[in-house]
Amino acid sequence: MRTKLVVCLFAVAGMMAAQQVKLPASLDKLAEKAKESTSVTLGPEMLSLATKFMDSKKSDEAEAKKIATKLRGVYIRSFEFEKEGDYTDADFSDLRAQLKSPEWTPIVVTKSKKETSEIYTHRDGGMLILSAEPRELTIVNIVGNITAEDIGGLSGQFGVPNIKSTHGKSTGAAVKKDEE
Amino acid sequence: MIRRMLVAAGLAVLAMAGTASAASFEDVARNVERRLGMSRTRMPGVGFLMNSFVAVSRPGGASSVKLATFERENGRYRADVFQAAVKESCEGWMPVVQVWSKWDGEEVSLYVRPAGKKWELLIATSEPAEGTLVYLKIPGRNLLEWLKDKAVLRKGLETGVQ
Repeated sequence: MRTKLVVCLFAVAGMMAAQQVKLPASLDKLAEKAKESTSVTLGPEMLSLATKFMDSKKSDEAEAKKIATKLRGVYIRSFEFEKEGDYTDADFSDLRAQLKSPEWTPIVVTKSKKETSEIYTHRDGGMLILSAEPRELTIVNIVGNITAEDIGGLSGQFGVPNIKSTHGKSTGAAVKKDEE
Repeated sequence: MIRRMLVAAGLAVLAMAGTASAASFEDVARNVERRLGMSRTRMPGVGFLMNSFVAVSRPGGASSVKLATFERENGRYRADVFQAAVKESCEGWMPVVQVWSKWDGEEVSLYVRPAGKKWELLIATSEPAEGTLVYLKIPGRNLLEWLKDKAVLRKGLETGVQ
């Protein structure tokens, strides 16, 4: 009986370790408000298989392929809303509270009148991207030993939002601020 | 007595080996039937029509397609019950995408597994009136394209919806 309990605890711990953020129950409520919600789960096995189909001759895919070898998972939740104001910051305040813990460091925060993009790095490696637009909210958790510079290489791959620098080229360090 | 035990042990090992291997489309459809306690809707000729359509138009680059439909009768199962039945039946398949649409009450799940240079896809769609399982085989790169762009992903999943 005791052995079973230990095994169960390890199994639960393993599942929790997959994603670095605990997606709060409030996100499920957000899904109820959303017109459409999407969840993408790319675990280590899936990532490893997917990279085999990437073309090393294409510079963007070659870079992404190299970075993907360091990843343990990409987890995406996105919500599309019918109209502006269907969701507010309060709907994901639980998530923000987690991002304020010492485990997370904000490396990029850009805010414009209608859009917010935030990138956080995790103490144990990995990142969280939060992209909030008037009618769309996307949360991406990239788990693995990646650096801020790597995020540019993953941009637009595996469902990771397309992040462009002020120079028009993808980088992890400088993110374009949407002034519109 | 010992011989009987050996035969029983051998059968148990064979049964375990069977469950450990990945479920085929037919296995999944049969398991869903069993879990829902109902048979899939038989549509004579639809398979031929679908394969002819796929051979000509290659939706999403698909080279093979199979379909199983489960019509909801008098509220015999809810959409989430259908999805749960599929999930429990998809041994050896990786769940990759789930889409919920509030307005039309539709839920779509995409399961994948590699097949050489291709991917085998299983798209489970549950609508208020029916549940559908679609099997597709697509080139390896195509799934990457699906994951790159939400619009492409939606179009690909619609192959299963339509």
